[in-house]
Amino acid sequence: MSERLLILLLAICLSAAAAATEAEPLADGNAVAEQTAEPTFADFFASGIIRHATLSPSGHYVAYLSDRRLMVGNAELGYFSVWTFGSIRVRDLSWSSDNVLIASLRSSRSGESSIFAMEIDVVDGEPVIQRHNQHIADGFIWDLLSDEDEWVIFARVREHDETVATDLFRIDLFGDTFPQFRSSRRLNRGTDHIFYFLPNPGENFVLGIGFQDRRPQLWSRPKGRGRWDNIWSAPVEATFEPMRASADNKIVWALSDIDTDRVAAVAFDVDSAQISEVLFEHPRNDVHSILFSDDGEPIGVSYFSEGVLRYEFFAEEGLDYVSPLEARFPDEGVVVTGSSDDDQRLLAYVSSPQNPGEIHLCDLASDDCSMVAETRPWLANVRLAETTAMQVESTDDLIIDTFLTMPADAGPSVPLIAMPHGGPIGVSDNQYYSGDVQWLAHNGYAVLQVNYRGSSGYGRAFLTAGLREWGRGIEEDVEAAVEHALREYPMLDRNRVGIYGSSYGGYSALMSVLERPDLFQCAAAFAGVTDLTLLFNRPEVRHNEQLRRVLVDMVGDPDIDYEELVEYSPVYRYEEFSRPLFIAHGNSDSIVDVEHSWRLRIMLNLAGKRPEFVVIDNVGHGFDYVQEAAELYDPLIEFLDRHLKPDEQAVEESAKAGEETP
Amino acid sequence: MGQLAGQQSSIKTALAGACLCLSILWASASAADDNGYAECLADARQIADRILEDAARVEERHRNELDDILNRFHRRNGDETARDAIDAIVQRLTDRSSIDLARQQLIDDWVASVLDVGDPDDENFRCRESRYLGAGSGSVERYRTELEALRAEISDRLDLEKLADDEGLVIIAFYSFGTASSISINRLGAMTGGIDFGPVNNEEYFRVLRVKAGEYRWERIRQELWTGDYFYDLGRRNLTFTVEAGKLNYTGVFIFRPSGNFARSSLNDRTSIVLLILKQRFPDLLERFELANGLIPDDRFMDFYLAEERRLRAESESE
Repeated sequence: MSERLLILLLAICLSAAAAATEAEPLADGNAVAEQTAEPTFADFFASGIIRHATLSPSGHYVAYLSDRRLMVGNAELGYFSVWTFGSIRVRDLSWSSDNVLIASLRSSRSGESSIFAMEIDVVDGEPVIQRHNQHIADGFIWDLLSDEDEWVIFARVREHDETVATDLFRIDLFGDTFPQFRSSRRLNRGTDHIFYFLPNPGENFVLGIGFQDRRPQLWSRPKGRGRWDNIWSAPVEATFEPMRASADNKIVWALSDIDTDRVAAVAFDVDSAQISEVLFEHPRNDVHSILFSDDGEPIGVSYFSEGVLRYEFFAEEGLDYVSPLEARFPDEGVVVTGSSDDDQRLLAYVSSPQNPGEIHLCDLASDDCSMVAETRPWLANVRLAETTAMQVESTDDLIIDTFLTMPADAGPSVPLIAMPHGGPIGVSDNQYYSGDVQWLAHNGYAVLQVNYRGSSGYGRAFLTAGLREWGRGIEEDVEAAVEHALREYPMLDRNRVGIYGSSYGGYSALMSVLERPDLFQCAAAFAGVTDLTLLFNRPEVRHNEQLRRVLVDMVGDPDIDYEELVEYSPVYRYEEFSRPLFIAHGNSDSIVDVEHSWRLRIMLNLAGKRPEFVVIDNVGHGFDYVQEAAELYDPLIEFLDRHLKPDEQAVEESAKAGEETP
Repeated sequence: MGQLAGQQSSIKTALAGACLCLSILWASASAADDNGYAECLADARQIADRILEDAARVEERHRNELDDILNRFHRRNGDETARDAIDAIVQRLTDRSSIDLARQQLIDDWVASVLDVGDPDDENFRCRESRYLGAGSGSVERYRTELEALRAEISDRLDLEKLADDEGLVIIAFYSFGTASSISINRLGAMTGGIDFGPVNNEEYFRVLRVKAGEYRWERIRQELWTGDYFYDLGRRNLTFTVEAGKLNYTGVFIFRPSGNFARSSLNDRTSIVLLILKQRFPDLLERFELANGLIPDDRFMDFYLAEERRLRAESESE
């Protein structure tokens, strides 16, 4: 694993918070199927119910998970529930053939992983499971073996010398588990250092990837037999993510920034053990993924530009199937999630800030698409807020992507909430649906998201520009974005600007209101960092030198820079706060301990400055249930309304008083 | 016996109240007809008298045993000049305890309830005394337990008063999100001098203890389940802290969260929460002893908070 990847992992840890409601199902979503009344908080925050949509090899059938029900069908048949997964979490769905579907499962109770194979036939016009079988095994399907319906190659994960290795087994999906996983039946030998075998359309088990000292290593077995040799190790500070190998195993196509600032699509020559060609590098953005043709040749890339996933092809065949989709959904983000073997049928996820997500099945020959399902059908009739992308120049000439979401029924004067994301390193905001943003907009606030320096997706220089900029360059970027928005959108009320964020975003909110009380009228932090030195007191950091080093890179070294860390910690500058504060924290937060919020609170109390303080029981760094998120957002909206909509508050209170007085 | 003045006073008031109540009821009973009211009231009086007598005995015993604790303490320490300070500690703990409330609810309210036998003029009057027979003794027993707990707290607190040269005070804070039969903390490099406590059951455990100076490590948690005893070995997690002699040592907050056959535990830095509890429950220790950070000695927040508090207080006083 590269150093940067570790930084990203830690950053992701510091960024979950409220946005985590998007990542996992919120089991108590009270959303209703048909919107008839004013949408509720739960409508905005309940996770999408559609997951893991997948297209069968012929393109005739689609399977997806709707809440806990497994749905199978197509436009002609309709979609039918064929199975219900109780407390088992479905991690993935894939078709082995047109009538064999495999679900990768993980038990919520025991943590046990398994694969669940189902043979599905259409009986009397309805898909029906004819038989099924479950293999308990930790790992993943490495190859679906498209020419063998009931067989797959399964990669079973095991620990070896503090690294993780995989063993490959060719298994009969409907056979007994244990005999098939005998070590004597392993397809690989002498591969204790290999985590992932690179697939290619020709000979397998020639190239593999392992990790040593956090660096990706390429392993090779030149003639497909004999000993595996480590032929190359990536530099520590670089990204190298191999995706596929050429049929002759001479080329590895990978995402890498070894020779470039941005992550590019590259060809790595195995014989010379070096990057032989940069296939594609975007002038501003990291490449997100490489797209391959059926015969395994790279044909294009995808990357995020202005917060939307875009495609670019360097082979014409790629244009054939994405261009019609982009033409059909011109104002939406389109993500192709699956294609039939002949590339004539595509499964596409279509979304935008105003479209919380739809799955479409498209037939390229007839240029026809049919909707499979909506991910949040209860929002179908809700007018969601629009988002506009802007580019803002920072004080030191960086270009900062910024997204402004205006309330759907904005009046002539709109209060603004700046909402810096968590991280801060290796995380970014995008234009896709966000419950947090839409709920604030629904409550009458314009919301400004800022991909400040250090955000992911803009190359190494931009990423590292955010290191040790806590309370400095990052917050200057946020302020520049706010000033820019106020200039460009006169309906935004300069005197009603607040700032709110979670995790690092909470820290950013506190530091921003401390430094710029002239710009921000109030600040709110959930799970916010308040004392940079306290980050190093976490048990995980105290006992893990590697994690500590990553944190030192991000924040600074308390052994050397203690005074500097104190200078940029809200706790030690408590007397400077002059604007109203809202501080909330989950008391089971293992990433940013609740102690951060308590420290700031007791210091503010000493000075007689009493922040609004909310501790939410049994909540960690993010939310698992809608009700938990409501425990944050109900008092938060009240706080924001009180300080950013004082006139409306007064009108409401006077109306209430009028009602109460006969 | 100044430390008991407040408590004795409240007990006397309660007794006087109960007697007055009895007199009024007796007067009322004399007018009662033959529906059994008088007999019922007599029975109720008997029960109430017994409860009050038992409560008085329990309180007498509490006073005697508390005297013994104090006498032992003064004999052992031989420091007569400290009597006032010790009395103040006992008084503060008594005031802060819920013993007056316990007396009110478990004894006085109960007696009043026993004596409230009903309306003498009610034709359908039914004596309810059987409801109370025997129940009063349970109430007194619970009151006795409360007094015992108060004595134990006083005794524990007095134990902190005199430190040997190689001893320090340690703050043990523990959040249990489940049950644990016992928890062990070992003193590293020593066969004895460990800290054992428990059982705990979904609670916040907060104690200040007198222990030998040295390095300590959270070692083991024992859980008794219906399927047998389970041990969580914490030693390899290296959850350590240090106790400095002559100081009040902050050691973090241990969090234990069992779930099925697994348990998560961590030793977290929760300085501010511990400071708040210390200020509420042990303000005198906070005044008298230097506070040391035995978990993360380099962390300066504790000193910063205390210094800022002193500065702001001084500023406020000078104004």
